[in-house]
Amino acid sequence: MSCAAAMTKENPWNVSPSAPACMEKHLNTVHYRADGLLVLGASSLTGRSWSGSIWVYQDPRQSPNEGCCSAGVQIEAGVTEARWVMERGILVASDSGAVELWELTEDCELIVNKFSRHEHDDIVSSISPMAGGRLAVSGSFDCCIKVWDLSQETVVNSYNAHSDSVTCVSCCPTEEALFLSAGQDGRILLWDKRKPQPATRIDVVSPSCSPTSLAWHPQHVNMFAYGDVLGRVTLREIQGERIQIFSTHSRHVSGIAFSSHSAPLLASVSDDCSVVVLDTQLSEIYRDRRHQDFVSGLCWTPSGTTTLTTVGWDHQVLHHTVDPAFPAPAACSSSS
Amino acid sequence: MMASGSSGSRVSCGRDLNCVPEVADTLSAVAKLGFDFLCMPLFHPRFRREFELDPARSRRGAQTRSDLLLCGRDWNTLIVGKLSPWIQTDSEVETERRNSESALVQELNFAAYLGLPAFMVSLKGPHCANLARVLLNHIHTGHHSCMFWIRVPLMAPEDLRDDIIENEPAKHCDDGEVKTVVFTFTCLLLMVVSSPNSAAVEVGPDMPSDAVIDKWLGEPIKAAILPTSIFLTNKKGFPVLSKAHQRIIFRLFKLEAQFILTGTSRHSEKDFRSYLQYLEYLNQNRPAPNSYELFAKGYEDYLQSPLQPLMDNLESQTYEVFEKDPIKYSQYQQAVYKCLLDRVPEEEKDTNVQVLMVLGAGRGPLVNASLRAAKQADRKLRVYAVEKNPNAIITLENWKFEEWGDQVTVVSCDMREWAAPEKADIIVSELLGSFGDNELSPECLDGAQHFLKDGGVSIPCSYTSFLAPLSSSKLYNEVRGCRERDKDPECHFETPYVVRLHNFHELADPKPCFTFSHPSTDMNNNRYQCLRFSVGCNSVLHGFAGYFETTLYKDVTLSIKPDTHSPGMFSWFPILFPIKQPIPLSRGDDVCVRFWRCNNGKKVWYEWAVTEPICSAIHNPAGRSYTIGLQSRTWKMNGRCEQVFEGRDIKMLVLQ
Repeated sequence: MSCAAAMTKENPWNVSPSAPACMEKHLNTVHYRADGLLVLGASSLTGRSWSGSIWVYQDPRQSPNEGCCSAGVQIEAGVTEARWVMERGILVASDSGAVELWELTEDCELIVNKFSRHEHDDIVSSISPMAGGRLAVSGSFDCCIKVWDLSQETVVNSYNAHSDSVTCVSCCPTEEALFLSAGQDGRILLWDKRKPQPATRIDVVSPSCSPTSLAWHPQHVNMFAYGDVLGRVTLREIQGERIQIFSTHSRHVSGIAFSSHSAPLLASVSDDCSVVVLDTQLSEIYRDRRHQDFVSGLCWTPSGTTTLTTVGWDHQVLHHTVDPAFPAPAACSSSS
Repeated sequence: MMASGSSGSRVSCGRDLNCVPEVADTLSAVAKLGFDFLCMPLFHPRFRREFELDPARSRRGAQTRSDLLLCGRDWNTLIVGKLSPWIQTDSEVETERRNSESALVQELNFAAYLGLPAFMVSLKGPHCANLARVLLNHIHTGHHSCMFWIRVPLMAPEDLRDDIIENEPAKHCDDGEVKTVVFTFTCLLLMVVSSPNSAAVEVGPDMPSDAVIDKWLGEPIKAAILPTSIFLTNKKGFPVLSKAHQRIIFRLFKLEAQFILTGTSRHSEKDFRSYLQYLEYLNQNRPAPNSYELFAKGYEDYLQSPLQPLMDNLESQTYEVFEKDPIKYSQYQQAVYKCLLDRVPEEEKDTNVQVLMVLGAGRGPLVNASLRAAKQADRKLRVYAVEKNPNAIITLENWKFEEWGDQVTVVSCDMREWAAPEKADIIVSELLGSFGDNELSPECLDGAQHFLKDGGVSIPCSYTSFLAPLSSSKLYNEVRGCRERDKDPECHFETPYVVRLHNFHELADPKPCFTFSHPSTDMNNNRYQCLRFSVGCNSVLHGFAGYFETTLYKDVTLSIKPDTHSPGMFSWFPILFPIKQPIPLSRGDDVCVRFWRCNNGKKVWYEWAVTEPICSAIHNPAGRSYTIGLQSRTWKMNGRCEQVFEGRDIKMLVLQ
């Protein structure tokens, strides 16, 4: 350790002393904090060790360079999702079946563990903080959905309503009790945890086609989007008939996200290795094919800018500049 | 590891994990806890693979971890591989299906390369035809030693959901049974072609009905998966199981299933080992087997052909084991006792000497039983002990010299050739087989009837065979395995087998088939019977279980029919009549089966055919595959032989 300490003194990039030496290859998740601080989750899905880690970058353009991170920490197993919660919390969904809460120290140099609870029986595939940040929802390959009280560090509800793996959970950005879940059983469920029968099934267009990712509309509580196994992106009303479908990808949609514009753009990433942005009319305004492997995570930069960040199993972090005013044909228009 | 435990040995238990960051560390940790093997993914469960579309198709580098991380012996004995959960070979999305097929082949080949003892494939839904096809293709192309464990939940996943979806109420549980059964069907029916596949049943928190459990116990269950979530917590904080779960565990012990613990530790203040210790505790405290189960130990589902070579001279020990049946001879004694009291009034007890003939006396157990009965009844008796085995005659003659005296006449003769010096009041015989008349007791006793007085009594005086439809992939595969090179490829399906039925599900209660009474005026022993059974659940018909009941005298009976089985009697195992093609049954279907007993003067045989819900072939026409010879010199020992030999083997087992 003394050696490592000595090295950090010499370190011109001021590397966090606790960060692991090397980031795993498969990047799974990327999220911005409101002030632009970026958290990255990585896993190793092949090779000797199937481990994972989370990384925080003040300058997103420096990621995934290990040497330039502000902080980083090794996790027991692969990371499927890492989300900012409250001020400095990082909520981690792990391959080990654990939900973990980590906290970034004020100087942004250390990430310390608040809790790790192995409540799920299988990989936790998705986690989403509820509006207000006090609660969070996790979904797992074990078919279960759990609601967590983060300050009490406990599970407050455990729901077994899907008959196959839960692929995605997404909380309503404004109302605390509401969230959506999607499963390999083909179901999309709307949850209101105040009700005695908390779930309501939402019809999907083609029952044979499982939803894979969900995003709640940032402004309209009655609206959400989902991606499915066929590569389609669907925008629909929760109560109401309006449904728009767009065949965006040729494979499994692995992630979907609304931008924070007044007329939000909808970005999606897929196992077909492409990144697509649709405008409010669901017409394609941007497509990028620079990723060389499955694209697994995406996030818009905060505060109304037009940059979308995507990560993939090719270990690339790409920043795409999308201008809603000027729909660009399939060319890439980003800087990296 | 894969050796299954027998009674008294420790329970074989594995640990199922979905997340194995370091394989060698995890394996040694699991072994340290006391587990015998580890079920783990071979490829990272989230590592989806693309086989068609660039650029992901040309992804570089290793697709999973190296085989060098464990030594060969560990891979060969301690690791059960698991198929990646994203593989959906029966997806309706074509790209998904094609990628899944390629990935499935890749994982199967890697499992074969590693030399794993078993590979576990989960069935999540009722659609698995394509999965079965790819698996079969793999099995048939290559020389794999790997077994395939098909992981099926005891109840359909749809039934395991909580009823919390407002606009989608949980299904009625009867429906669940149907679906669960459908699972097995599509897959196991298709897989029936290859015997090493077995089911690994996942036990859920809710137990299905007994009917569903019974059905499951007819499947070739190799392993039972126990989620930690089904365990309760006792006062001291240790994991325990409910009574209902304990019952199914005990039944699984009997099938010698292995156990696999899955799920996170839910009793975190206790070591994970405590789950294992609890199973071992149940194993040590399982209900003691009764004498029948002890006797039958090692013979479960072991087929014995009634067509073994005829043995002229049984060995002494063979008789000895046979004579040890605690029930049979005391029932015969009771029958003779009641018969003597009926035939000889109190006032004639000193004058009336009853003539009793034991036909097939062996080493004399029936002679002794008869003499005891006479003493008990305080009646006079003259006994003829007719036996054709000259070696047993030596035993009988010694008995006579030392014990019986002139009261007993030993006759060394085949009973059919015997010119009796006088007529008998009572003839006593034990010529019944597992199916009652299948050792030709009717023909034998008809042949001896001429030396029975008018109004004389035969003990037994009547016997009835019973049949019940059964489902058992295990037995079906056992029968298929009986194929012999020089014989017709289907002849082993036209032969009944004596077998201790174990891994099976009886689909309906047995119904009476053929009845014979003695003495009889009708010497025609041919029979024809049509039986109709209504089946209460979806299943597959694999054959018929045969039993018998006999009335020795009035209310003194013997039975091997399960609901009336003479307690503790082990002289007979049931008989199995297989059918060539399994017949799928839906709940509410009627099974109609026709049985014939035929005789051409030289041989006796059975023919059988299912006529509903669909027609099977007529099995064993003209006795082409199986007959019981009437003219063999030792014919009357025919059926007996294999029963006795079976008894001898079992005795050796018991003594070990």
